[in-house]
Amino acid sequence: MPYSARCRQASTNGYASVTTRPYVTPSKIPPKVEEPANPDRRGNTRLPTVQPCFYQLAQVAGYEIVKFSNGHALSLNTSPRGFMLLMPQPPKKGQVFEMHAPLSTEEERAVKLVEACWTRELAFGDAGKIYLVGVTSLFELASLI
Amino acid sequence: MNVMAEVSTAFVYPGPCENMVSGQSSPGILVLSRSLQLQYVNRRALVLIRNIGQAITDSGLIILPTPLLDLRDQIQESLDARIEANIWEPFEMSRVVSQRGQRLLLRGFGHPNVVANRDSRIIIVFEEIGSAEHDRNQQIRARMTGPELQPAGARFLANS
Repeated sequence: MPYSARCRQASTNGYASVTTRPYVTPSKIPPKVEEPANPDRRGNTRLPTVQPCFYQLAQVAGYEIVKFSNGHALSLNTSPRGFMLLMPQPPKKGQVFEMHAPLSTEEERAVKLVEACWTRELAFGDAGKIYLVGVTSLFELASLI
Repeated sequence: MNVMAEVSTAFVYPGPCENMVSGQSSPGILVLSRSLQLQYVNRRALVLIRNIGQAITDSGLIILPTPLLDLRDQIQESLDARIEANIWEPFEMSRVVSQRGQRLLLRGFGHPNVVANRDSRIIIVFEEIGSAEHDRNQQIRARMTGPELQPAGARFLANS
């Protein structure tokens, strides 16, 4: 018998049921246990690797170039599938752009095509806003400097 | 490790990569979706495309020259056929284009996406041939990345 029906029956009988337990919805308060942030988003282990790099963005609309922009970014960590960047401007989610980073040999550089998966805005001192950007690697060229 | 100090300097001081990008040694890159929407193009690609045909109209519209359109269509056709056949390895198709005494190597990569077919991509890399730059570009190595991808296995050559 549903709880509301039992309540109605109890009130008509002139007594309140003390054995019936009302249905309680599950609590939406998050557990206090420390959990890693968004574990589902992390497919692979990330290795902290701080490395300066250079990026190029192209805003395109159809087959029209709206704007080119470039600047310096900082790679904060890497995983087999991508890496996290600190950038002075936010790419749009899903935007493809170009990253340049020196390789370990210092005679080669990596030119990477990446896709922005997410961005987070951060306030950073006098520099104003900067952005954490998670990217997936699509393609990589390695060539001599 | 003083991360904050590195963050500060990274945005202020130009590194060697900036010079590489602005210089002639940077490869031209064009990225299209499987449905042929333009997703990315760099300045170098536009310069090199201009050498083999019209690149940008006065209104800022990018017009791809015929050899590039042919390669794009070949890759799209192959990409569709491979996806239809459940073949998920990336592939490369190349062609050399000669225009006005200048030779350009177009390397087109089909990049299937097993997770979302519509997110499959066509990537075209432009390299000059017959110049000092090409000697450097000869050593350019391409590598596909992604969870479902293996290094480029197939290579097809097509004459212009």
